[in-house]
Amino acid sequence: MDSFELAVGDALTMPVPRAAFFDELLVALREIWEVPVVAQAPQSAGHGHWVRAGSVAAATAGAVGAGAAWYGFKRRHRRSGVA
Amino acid sequence: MRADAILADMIDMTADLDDETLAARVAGDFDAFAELYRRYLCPVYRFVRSQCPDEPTAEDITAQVFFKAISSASSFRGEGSYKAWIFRIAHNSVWSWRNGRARSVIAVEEVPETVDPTPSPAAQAITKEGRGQVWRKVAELPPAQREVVALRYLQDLTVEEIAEITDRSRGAVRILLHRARSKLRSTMDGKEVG
Repeated sequence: MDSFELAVGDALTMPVPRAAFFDELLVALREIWEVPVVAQAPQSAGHGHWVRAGSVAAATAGAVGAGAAWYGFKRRHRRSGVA
Repeated sequence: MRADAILADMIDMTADLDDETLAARVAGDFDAFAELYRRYLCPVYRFVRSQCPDEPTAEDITAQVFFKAISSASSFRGEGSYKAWIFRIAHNSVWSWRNGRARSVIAVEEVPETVDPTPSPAAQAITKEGRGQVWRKVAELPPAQREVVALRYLQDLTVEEIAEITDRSRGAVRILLHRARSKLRSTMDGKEVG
């Protein structure tokens, strides 16, 4: 890479994630890995209907909806006033 | 469990393993995922931050990337690198957000507030103001050009890897890079960076 390209790369390295974000997300990921959160079937669930079920195997088999996990993280994030 | 306790548990046990070996262990070993998280949070966050207008949005999208990475770990077959795999998730997450928001240009005043406290020697030669100028020029690129620039110059990925991540042909990636470079050079030409 020439100096111009290095300057572009360096400029893009400016942002770093907040330490608190690193910690909170890691803890949330650990919780999800241990007790995955899965969404109920659409026909039986309204908004906010989530069940905690399954296992790591279920999670890694794709049973966990990333959207559901994300929903739970956002909710906690907002409650803690960090977002 | 607190984050420092999680990290204390995993230190020294996974640090020597390569990404693909760790990825194969995620199903039964959270430490393997935690090590991948430690390696990729910063690169993924920087890439996402270069594609969106502010820190909260970057955190939202970055969190989505890692939730998807842990919940779909079994879909990583080891056919390519883990880095390419997680950046493909990041690419998809950014474009989902972008399509939802129909927002394509980062507001020029939104230069990151949280700046790397330990810049590389090359970065130290450039003032913060100079880096901010370059950031703004990159932010003004069309989204597809901005993305390939970040993947090439921030993540040091090859054209082939970028093509795989962005689901474009290698020729299309080269054209996007060429146009982005030309645009950046023309707007920065004659201006001292720093």
